[in-house]
Amino acid sequence: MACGEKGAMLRELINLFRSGEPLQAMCENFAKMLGLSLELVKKGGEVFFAQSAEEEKRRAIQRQDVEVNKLERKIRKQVVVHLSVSANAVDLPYCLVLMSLVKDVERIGDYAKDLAALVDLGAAPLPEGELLQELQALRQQIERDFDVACRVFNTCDREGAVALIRQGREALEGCERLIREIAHSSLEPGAAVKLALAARFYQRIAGHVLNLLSGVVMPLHRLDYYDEKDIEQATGRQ
Amino acid sequence: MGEPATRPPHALETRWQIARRAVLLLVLLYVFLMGVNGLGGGLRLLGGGLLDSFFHATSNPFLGLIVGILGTSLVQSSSVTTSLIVGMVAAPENALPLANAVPMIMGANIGTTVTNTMVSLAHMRQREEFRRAFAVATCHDFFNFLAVVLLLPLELAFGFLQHSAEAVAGLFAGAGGWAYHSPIERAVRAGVEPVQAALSLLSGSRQVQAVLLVVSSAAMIYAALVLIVRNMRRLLRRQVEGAVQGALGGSPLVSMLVGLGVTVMVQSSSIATSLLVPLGAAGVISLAQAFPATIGANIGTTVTALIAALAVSGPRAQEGVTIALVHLLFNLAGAVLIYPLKPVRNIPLFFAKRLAEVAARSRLAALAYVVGAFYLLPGILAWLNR
Repeated sequence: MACGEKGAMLRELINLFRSGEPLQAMCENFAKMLGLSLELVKKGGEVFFAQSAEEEKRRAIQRQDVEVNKLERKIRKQVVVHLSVSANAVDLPYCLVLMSLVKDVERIGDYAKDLAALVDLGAAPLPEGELLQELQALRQQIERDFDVACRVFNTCDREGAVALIRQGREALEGCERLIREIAHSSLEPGAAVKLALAARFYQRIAGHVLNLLSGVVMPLHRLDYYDEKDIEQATGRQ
Repeated sequence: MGEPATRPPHALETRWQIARRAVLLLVLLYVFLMGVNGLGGGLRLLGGGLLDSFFHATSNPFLGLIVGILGTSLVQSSSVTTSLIVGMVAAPENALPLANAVPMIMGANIGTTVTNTMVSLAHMRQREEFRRAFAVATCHDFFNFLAVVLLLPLELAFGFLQHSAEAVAGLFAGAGGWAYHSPIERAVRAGVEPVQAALSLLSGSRQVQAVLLVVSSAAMIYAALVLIVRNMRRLLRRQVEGAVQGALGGSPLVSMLVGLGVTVMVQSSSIATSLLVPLGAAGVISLAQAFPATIGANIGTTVTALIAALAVSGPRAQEGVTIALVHLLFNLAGAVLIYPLKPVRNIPLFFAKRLAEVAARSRLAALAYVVGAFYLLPGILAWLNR
């Protein structure tokens, strides 16, 4: 073994035994995961609305999705090791929340990838009109909400999360309404399928963002519940 | 109720708390060394008669091995047993002969594996989880069984561990037959003398005083080690976790060094190997990844006996250092013989996997293995060889 390699290994070993804050490391990885998923949603939207089949963009989306999946597994391992080694009951709720939310963020990445993959349904351009405009408006709102949600989650901003949940529920309803409108429209089948699926994917993305926000507002056992009644119950008990 | 599930990371232990723990650790270490030193004094006072039968019995290496297994399984700490052995070997008079102590040290290595095997029993409710946990736990057992099977006959035939350890201990003593002088022996004696004086007030009988000194010294060793382990674990919690996290994706050598490092940090191979059990149960680490960490822990645990050797003094102090070195060399030799060659390395892994499959099918078999291998069988064999 060369001297340089020995030195590198020794440094690696010393770094292993250096104290770090385990929860902090998990937080950082989760923040990274959120950032990557947000980018994925934006890129997926770009590919879908431009109906561009650019290979490079599609490959970049896939690479980023793989990164998100790796981070999901890494955080899960960190949680298991942390709970096993430290046997610290104080950290248990936060660890369980992370365990649940990494799944939501991973699903967001999957839906973003699926959104880009809708291009494969056919090269026909998206039908211009009110329905497309509605979908674009929903896309903007959901991307904006997701961006703010990342900051709200990282800073544990409770009030911000409640406001965003109320706003996000409107986006969910908007997606549902749009799907019904598409079903009753006179669009040709290929275009209707593309728009309906995109609306459905954005609805699911919005739903997972709301799950993420429920982690800031709700106690652990009410995670993923964000109806008005649930929010009032949680905020009223502060 | 109503508290949100997320929260920012909690505050770290304050510097004041860390400083307090560090002082407590120094005090505990001193008590531990007092125990080792006091043990030698107690044996000297006890006189030859009472100990002769024990020394005679352990002159049979097989029985010495069983005494080591049984004693360590009962106290669930090889550090306690090996420290007691160091104290007994280094006693100025009526000392345990070095040759008797070597198989006992090997037995202690086997006995200590019972702890993480017991920890794995907690996963019994989930069959698949239990299978993984039990395999990770028992690879430690089978590694030590194999090490004894390979090294005990060699030791009996050639005495290579004892001779090598004597040669290394000679380096401590210096060339030309200089006696070994512990650097902290005087400080330790200063603590033991008042204890001896206090015990002499309790009884005028030399025999009673000797028994009281031996018992109180063993209690000091045990209590100090238990508290040292507990405090070290708390003090170095984050470092241990960081090391375990880092070892997950590392090479076998890194895993081995992490196992060694964590054991030295918490002063307990049982703790280090028990940490691997829930990780193995959850499938976060595989048996092949856990195995080198286990071997590292085996080597790391020898540091306690070496620390104990710091407290010994008198004409047989060098023997005390020698037996501590035997412990180190035995574990190093086991690692060198077993790990590098894949066919040999696979032997303990094969048995651990097979036993785990049986244990997963029949929980009774798992319990029978723990009770039988560590308590019942050694007990029966000891009784038959009495």
